[in-house]
Amino acid sequence: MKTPQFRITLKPDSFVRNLDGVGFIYNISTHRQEVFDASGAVFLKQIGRSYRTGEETVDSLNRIFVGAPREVLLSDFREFAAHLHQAEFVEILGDEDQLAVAPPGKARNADSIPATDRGPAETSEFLKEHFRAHPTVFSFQFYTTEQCNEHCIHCYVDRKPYGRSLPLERRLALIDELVTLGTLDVTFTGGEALLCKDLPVLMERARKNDLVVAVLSNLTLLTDEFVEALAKPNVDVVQTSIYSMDAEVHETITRHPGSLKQTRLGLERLRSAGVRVRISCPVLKENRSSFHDVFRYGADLGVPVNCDFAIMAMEDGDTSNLAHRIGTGDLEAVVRQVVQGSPKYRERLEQNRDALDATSLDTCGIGTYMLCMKSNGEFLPCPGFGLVVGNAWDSDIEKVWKESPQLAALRRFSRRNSFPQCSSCDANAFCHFCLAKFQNETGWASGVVPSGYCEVARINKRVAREYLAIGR
Amino acid sequence: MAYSKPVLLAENVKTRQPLAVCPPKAACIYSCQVPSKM
Repeated sequence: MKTPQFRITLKPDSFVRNLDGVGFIYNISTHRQEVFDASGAVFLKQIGRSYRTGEETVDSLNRIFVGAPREVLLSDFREFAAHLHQAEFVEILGDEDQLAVAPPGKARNADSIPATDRGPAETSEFLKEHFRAHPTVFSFQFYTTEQCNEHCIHCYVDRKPYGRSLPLERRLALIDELVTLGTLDVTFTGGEALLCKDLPVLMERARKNDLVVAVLSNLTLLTDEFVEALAKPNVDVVQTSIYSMDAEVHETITRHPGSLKQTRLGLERLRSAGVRVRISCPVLKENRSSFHDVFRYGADLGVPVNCDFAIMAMEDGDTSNLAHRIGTGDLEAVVRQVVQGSPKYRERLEQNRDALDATSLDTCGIGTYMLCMKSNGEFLPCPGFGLVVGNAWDSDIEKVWKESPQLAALRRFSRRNSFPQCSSCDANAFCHFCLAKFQNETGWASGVVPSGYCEVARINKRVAREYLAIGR
Repeated sequence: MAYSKPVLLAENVKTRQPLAVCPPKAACIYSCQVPSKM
């Protein structure tokens, strides 16, 4: 057998995690994800941020898999490396013939890496189940500040001061702690994230710790320093909100004169710098007649646009902002416009035309794979979820994650038991069942679905069926 | 550690959905519009 001369490294935008005995690899540019068993987790761990030879790697494997024949490890690692290269997770230098490495993007040999008898599962479904059994702070959301230079009429963030902000040293220590917890990504949000002068320092610490970063910002305060920080290869996405291409409408919502022009400039500047950006477009009464122009703007720029019809009440339980939520009478026309404006939505409807009647009583990753922290150190189950589950002034993340009685209760939550009415709902698959939204309106454990949510699901389903010409 | 050849347990070649980065402000977006199994 030839000596392996190849050298292998992770692509700068690929990330590996060992998650309680399974290995996870993710490329943030292609969004491709794979999960391997325990041996695969060990193989993945050998592939780092600098090139390493196959020889060195097999030496390492030999020390872990004591007694395994070296030539078997070598052969299997070569196959593994070739698979990861074909899937565009890694870069390989060296003897390509020996590795039989196809050029990136070519279809892989399906037999090269064995899958389970039933074939590989869908990653998101697999991970949901995995995290139910092994709760992990996989995603961490970080309110850098609750202050904002915009004053959006529908915002859910409670801006009242509740104690001091965490000092920078403590924030950095918490980012360091995430590494030990298996966290993949940190989302920096606010308030306005760019109002936090320490954001570049926090992002740099996240990068050094090999964490994926996302930033939610209105981009009106974008500076050269922030552009540089956001253009790093570990930044998955920057999301900004645009409500309308009509400045008067946009600024009626943001209550910040000149904000549409500033946000557009910021977005286009980041796009030119090669940063992945995404537009969020909540639909309110105020922009219901012009929000669809945002889809056109996004399409012209090649930027995805996402809509939400059911804005969230405030974290402190104040529901006065819901006065801006579109009424059910307007909803059907709005959903139709979304179907017309969003090729992604249409594509997903087409792909799933057989699943419209599916019953799904899933809930999200609250308590099992996500956690959020406000600027004063208070932990919330997720952004906007008005329930304090711990505080970083006196607890590490791990302690809160393992010991918080509120998180334990959320892990025990069963939609089937707490919301039995969902089991028989035929629009169930279109339901945006969001405990954070419910918490701020009726309480997450109340068993009461706040007014309007069920209607949104039914209308969504009706419009989807109409689009797919089902039942005509 | 006992050795066995690595096995692929899950992949997202078909769907290529991004991981949820939050749920972001303004929602878990598409999950509110389309069947959640999508």
